[in-house]
Amino acid sequence: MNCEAVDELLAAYALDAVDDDERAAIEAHLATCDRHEDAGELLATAGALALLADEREPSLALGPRLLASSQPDPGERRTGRVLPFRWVGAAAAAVLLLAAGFGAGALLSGGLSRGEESLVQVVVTDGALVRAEATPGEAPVKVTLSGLRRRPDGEGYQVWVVRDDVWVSVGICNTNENGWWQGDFDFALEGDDLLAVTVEPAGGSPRPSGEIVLIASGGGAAD
Amino acid sequence: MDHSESPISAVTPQALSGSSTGSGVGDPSVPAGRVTGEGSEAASPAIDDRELARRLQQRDASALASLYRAYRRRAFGLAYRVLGDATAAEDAVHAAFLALWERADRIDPDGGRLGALVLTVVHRRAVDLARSRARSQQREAPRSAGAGEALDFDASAGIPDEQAQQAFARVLDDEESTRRRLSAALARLPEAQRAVVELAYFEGLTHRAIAERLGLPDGTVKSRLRLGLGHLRDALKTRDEGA
Repeated sequence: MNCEAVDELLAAYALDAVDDDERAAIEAHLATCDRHEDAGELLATAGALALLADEREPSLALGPRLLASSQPDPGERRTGRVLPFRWVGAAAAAVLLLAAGFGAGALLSGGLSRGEESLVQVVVTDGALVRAEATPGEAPVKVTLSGLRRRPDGEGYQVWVVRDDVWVSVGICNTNENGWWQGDFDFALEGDDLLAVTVEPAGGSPRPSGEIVLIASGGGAAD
Repeated sequence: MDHSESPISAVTPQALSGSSTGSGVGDPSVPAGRVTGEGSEAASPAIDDRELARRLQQRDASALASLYRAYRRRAFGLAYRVLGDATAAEDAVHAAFLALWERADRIDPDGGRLGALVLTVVHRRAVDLARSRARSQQREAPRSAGAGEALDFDASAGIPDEQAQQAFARVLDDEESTRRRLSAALARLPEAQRAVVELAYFEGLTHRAIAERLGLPDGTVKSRLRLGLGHLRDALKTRDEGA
């Protein structure tokens, strides 16, 4: 494809209105020819048209699906349902747990009759759960992990909250042989925090570096 | 039960200052939680595009989560506009973010408009998917694979080259200003130009498909696309140059 042909198709290319062969030919030409200085600006202009589409909230499952797909070991991937997780009242949390198909036994024992001031966040995906309960703005926070296989020596589960897009470490722990852990962390949760759990070295990490096994999906409604 | 198991120690000393209060409620063998306190990561500077791009290139999965959280609504809104179907739109968004993750090496941290880059890739994925579905319907043999899996990444993963990414910063103002000026410029376009631009961008049609739909010569469509997009580009640049 020569320069003239490229110029003729450049706007269509920027708008993704060329076929695969044309796209390949144009990109091959642009990679070796510096006479099409406006290509970048046309691409930017076309890209800005995206701003004219209305924003829409995807399903709550999409974020976890994406993060699961990004993990290097397919055997470690978790996919499936993640419940909505903003802070909700204790009674509502019970509904969430039951709706997720988890038994009401161990997971619901304790903590759910503390009154309306309790904040509870629950993140569930296939067979795994992290639950946090606290009085807003006050330590401690009671955390429960379930359905997460015990990590080998040298590893642990690090619990985080995502606060204004910054990952703040809550604490690190490991599950027992039954894949369960519960304990208190001296950490003050806030209403907009979103829970996440990653696999990290036993000493913990200053920021997430391992597999994200659970993460709350921001922005969704809880009901 | 392994009562000899030592509690996992706290995270890196420089990041942590909290005390340990683990209680192991409900199962005395369970190691108590160790505490990191809330001062560690919270003290980090606010995330910006450059920092996010750098972390993506370092394979920091939390950066992918942040990128998704920041742009998911715009990305999904765009894909839905092109595809008109929520499931397909999610497939396109998924493929696009995964492409950005897999080929983060192509992201120019100095490009300055990570959101525009995300939406460019999302649009490309959505258009590819729309055409894939159209071809499948024509053959009356829909692909059995999930729509997202049917998308092949080319070498670039749909990520524009460095020069184009830097042009994003030159052309695009802040989001609201860009949106407002572009909307006004699109409304000012002659109807013939606006129609082909919208059919191309928001319906994912090729120039040939537009020509067929409108009953126009292909050359006319390409010419209208060129003129229309050129007018929009000029509208976005005018204020930048006058500023």
